[in-house]
This record gives sequence, C-alpha cells and structure tokens, in this order.
Amino acid sequence: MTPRAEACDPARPLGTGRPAAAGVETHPGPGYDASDSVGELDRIAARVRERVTRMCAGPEGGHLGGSLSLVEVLTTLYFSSLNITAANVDHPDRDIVILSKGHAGAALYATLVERGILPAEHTDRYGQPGAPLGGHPSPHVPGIEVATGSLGHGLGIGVGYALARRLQGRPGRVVVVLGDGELQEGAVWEAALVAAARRLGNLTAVVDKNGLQQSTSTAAVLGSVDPAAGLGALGWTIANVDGHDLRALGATLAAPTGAGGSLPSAPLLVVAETVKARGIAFLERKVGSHFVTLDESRLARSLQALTSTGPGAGGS
Amino acid sequence: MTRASADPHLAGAPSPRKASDGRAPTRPMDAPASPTAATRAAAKAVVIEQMQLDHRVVCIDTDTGLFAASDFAQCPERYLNIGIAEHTAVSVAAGLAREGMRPVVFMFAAFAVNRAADAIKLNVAYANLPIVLIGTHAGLSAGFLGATHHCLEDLGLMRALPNVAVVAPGDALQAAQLLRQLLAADGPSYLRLGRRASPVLPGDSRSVLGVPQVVASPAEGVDRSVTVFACGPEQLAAAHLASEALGRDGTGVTVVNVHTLKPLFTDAVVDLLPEPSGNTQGLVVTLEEHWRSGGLGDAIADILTAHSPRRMLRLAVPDTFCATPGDHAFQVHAAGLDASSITARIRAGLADAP
Repeated sequence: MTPRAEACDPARPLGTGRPAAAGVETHPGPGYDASDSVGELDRIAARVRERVTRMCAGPEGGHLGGSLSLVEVLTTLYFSSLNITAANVDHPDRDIVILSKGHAGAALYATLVERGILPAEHTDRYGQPGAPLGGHPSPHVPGIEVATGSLGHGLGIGVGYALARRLQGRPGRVVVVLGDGELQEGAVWEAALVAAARRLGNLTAVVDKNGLQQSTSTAAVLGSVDPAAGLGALGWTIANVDGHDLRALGATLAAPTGAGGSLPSAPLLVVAETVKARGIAFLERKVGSHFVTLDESRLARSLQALTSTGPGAGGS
Repeated sequence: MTRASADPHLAGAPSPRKASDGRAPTRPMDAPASPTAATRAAAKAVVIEQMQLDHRVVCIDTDTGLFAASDFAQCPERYLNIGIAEHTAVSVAAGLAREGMRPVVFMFAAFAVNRAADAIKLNVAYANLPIVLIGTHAGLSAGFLGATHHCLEDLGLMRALPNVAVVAPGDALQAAQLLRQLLAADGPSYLRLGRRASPVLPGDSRSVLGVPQVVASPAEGVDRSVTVFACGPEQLAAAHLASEALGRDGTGVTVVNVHTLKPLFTDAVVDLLPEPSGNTQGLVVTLEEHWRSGGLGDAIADILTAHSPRRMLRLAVPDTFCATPGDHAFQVHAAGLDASSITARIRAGLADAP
C-alpha cells in the first residue's frame, strides 16, 4: 500500500469526515482473517516490536516498556478486529482507535507503518529534530485521531465518537486503549459513567494491564484496589485476556454483538494482562523500562533478545 | 423598530426608552439600566433554534439547569446532559466534532475553563475543532454565590490558547447574534455569558465577530480625550453612564464595546483612537469584570505597546478574591467598577496626566 503523500503536514485539516478520494471502499475488510492467519499476525507483531525497539535507540529514546506491552493488542486491532486501512483512514465509516495512553505512540506508529498508513522512513527518523513523528501522537499525523499523552482524555473523546455514530446512524467501532496506571485519572471515571449510562455498545476500552507506571508499580500506588474491576460495577461488560496471545485477543476483540446481532447494550472493557517491555528479557517487568534510550550495545542486546524469543515465542 | 422587539430572544423585555435625539435617556447615576435581558437565556434560545435548523448541532449540558423543561421538538436526542463532569463534557464534544457534529457545551464559567482546561487545550484548541464553549455566570455575576462561583480568569486562560475565539457579548441580542456566527465558524470558541438579566445596549447596530463597536461618542463640538474599551453588559452600561457624567464636565468620552477579545486586530483598535493633538495623546481606559491579568486590559495593552503607545488606565477586578458576600452589584461596587467609581477613577486619571 502507498502511504499518503501528504503525510504529517501540520497544516493538514482535521476531521474532514469525508473520503480522501472518490471510489474509496467503504468497508475493504480487515485484510487478515485471525482464524487462520495467526502466523502472519505473529510476523507483523515481531516487526512492530523490532521497529519500536530501534526507535527507542534514537537520539531521544522512547517509551519502550509500555509500547512493547501493547504490540499484540495493536496488531490484533489493526489487522484482525477493525477496519482501518490506508484506503479508508479518512473515511467517515472507518473504525476508530484512540491511543489514550499516548506515551505508547511508538507502538502505534510502528503498527501504522505495518498497515501502510505511515511510511517506514518516518519511524527511521524518530527522535530527530524536525522529524514527522513526535514523542506523543498528534492528529496531524495520518491515522492518528486525536492528540494524546495527557492521560485521562481518550475515553471521553471515544464516548463522543461513539455518540456521534449513534446520532448519525453510522456503523463502526470505537476502541480506546488505556494504561492501567491511567485509570488513576479521574476523567476516565467521568467518561466511564457516561459510556455505561448511555449503553454505548459501539465502544470498547482496552486496558494494557502491565502492572507498572512511570515510577513504580500500580500496586504500590493503589494496593489491592483493582480499578479495572470497578468498571464492571458501573455496567461495563468485562473480558480478561492474555494480552500477548494473538489468538485469544482476536476472539476477545472481535466485534461484540447483542441480541439478534444488534449492538450490545453495554460498552466492553477488555483487560489485557501484559508484560511491560515484553520480548526483551533483561528489561521485562522492570520499572526502568518505562522510558529508555538504548545505546548501541543495549540495542544489540535487545534485538538479540527479540530474535532469540522469536515471533510469538515465550507464551505467557 | 427597537432592538428588543426586533429579536425574538428578547421578547417580553420592555422597549428601550428613547430621548428625542435618539440617544439613550440620561439616567440617575447607577440607576438600573432598562431594559434588561439575560445573555444565557438568549444563547439557550439560539441553540435550540439552530438544533432545529442544522442536524449537526448538539447541545451538551453539564447539569447547569438552564435547559430544564426545554422543548427540543424534533431533536431531543441531540441534547446530552453529560452530568457534573466538565472535563468529560469537553472531551465528548471533541469526539462529536471529529465526527462532523457541531457541539455547543454549556458550563458554569467558574468550572468550565479551569476544571476542563486540559481538555480544552488539547482536545478542542490543539485539534482546532468547531466547538462552542459557553461559560455562564461569568465575571462577578454569580454574586452572592461566592468566590468559588465567580470567574475572573476565563478571558485570560482562553486568550492564551491558540485557535480559540474569545467572545464576551455586550448584551443578550449580541450574544444571540455572535453565537450564530460562532456556530457557523470552523474553529473553536469561548462565549462568556452572565447569570441574571443584564442591561441592553442602546442603538440598533448589528454585531460582527471580531469587530469592536463604538457605542457612545462625545457630543458634537467636544474633543475626544478619553477612549474606553469595555466588555460585558454591566461594564458597558457603567461606561455609558460614566461617559455621560464626564461629558457634563466637558470631557469627551468614546466607549468601545470589545465583544471579541480574540481575534482582536490591531487596526480595529488603533483606528478608533483619536489623533494625538497638542501635548495630549488622550487617555485609554480598559474596563472589564475580570482580574487584571490576561483579559481585555492585556489585549489592548499588547496592541498599543507595539503600535500606538498611549497612557492607559486599566480598570479591572483587583488582584484578590471577592470573599465578602454580596450580590452582583455589591461585588462590582466593591471592585471599584460601578459607574460612580469608574467616573471618579477616570477623572483622577485625567488629573494625573503629565
């Protein structure tokens, strides 16, 4: 697929809500069938993981740990669950991903490269002054819906998207990806109440539950309190899944249906149990993996670690 | 036809009394202006009107109570009371706008721009989305409700954000006119409104976003020595009374209604100033129900400093919380922003002239 020519123009108008060109398919389909393509998804996830790792060896480093914990979730969303392609990225009926934990932008960029929405050269220049991609997602980048990185915003925005689709009678799913530490932000709970009260069956939230935040573990902050479970009490449907198991993710993140094939009457929360810095053994589950600048030798060690585990290896 | 009867949103308001020369009649100093109408009631009527005309318009409420028992006719589903959650109301508006809708968010000003500031900055201003944010009970209009409910920083906070138009209408009709223009604009805006009925400006002029309006001029043959830039109904009414009192002294005062604080174009301000004559350049006064930082005074000073330096008298709420209980008029008086105080402060400013 050809990346969009006008990639990353800061003057690019936002929210056109119209197809980029006449003749764009409304529903080109995900392009991959999770039921028999897990091997292909494994290879995609491995490439995303390697690309993210190389990006974190750039001059500015990057949020490695929380990006690597999210690779299989994003791979599943973009290549199995949702309709988001280079051809329909501006189509009004496209599915929506909002990366509320915007610090994992490197994982999103790498996934968008795999999807053909961003050119690979963009990630090669990650961290360089004047490069097209910044440390947190910006809506001026093709395929990015909204600016995220200030935590706690994404779910409210997602509620707005989901309400708009309902008001306009249009199809499409809205998926908001949250960090487990992010659930400490109060605005998440405001939005969660609205989503539950308005029975937004076209809205899915995925929590990347890697158990760590910037300075410590989530347990060190909240003890045994499990905020994700709390959303169940508010009326969300909750599903727990191994966040690195592509087959399980494919089943859990498939479009939920309610009675008679209609939309379900509650928003869906998918709690993805993940490992921070997944795939790089010497960084896995370490608080210090949150933000990393890999020097040459650590990049080599990291890539060696990724290769030795191989695509999909390691299980959980 | 008077403005009150020309606009359906002012239906029921008494007609302005006109003196034989067409100017508003002279009132006793600080007498309540007549007629009056609430800017927020006018905005509510416009939003309901526009919801019927444009299926993209969505009214987002934050439990303000303004829409109790409102009839949305064919589109009740486009009224969304998100609840007591200003931050999320703004974020929801962003999602709706990204999908082609035209959201209007009603909030109490005191909780709007502070509490939702992060959402406004990132999800509205940075994304440059067509969203109208409306803060009611702004300035000191919440009066007795206290300093928790006063909002004296909104103009500064909103002016600081790129892309956001900042509008403080001079009366209810102007609120209606400018809100229609904001709804037709392609970018975000903040509309500052009051609480109770407020003075209606004299005259029949139409308001255009971004264009300041002269609402009072010196009598014929009187030199212009003072130019007052003011925003908000109460302050404009006070400025009007002050201009009349100063006129009786022989001091020529021009009163300018700066209903749009951003964008505020240099020429639109500088062109309204009198040419310097003799050894006097005239006194420029700014008048606002806002703390001194960030509001109209800063906006005018920014322009004059760069393009036409003049002596300025910046009248605003002092740098303190208005903690003594009292109604709106009490608070305005305590802040030195009632007509008598303004008149005295301008006289003193003129006396201090070099």
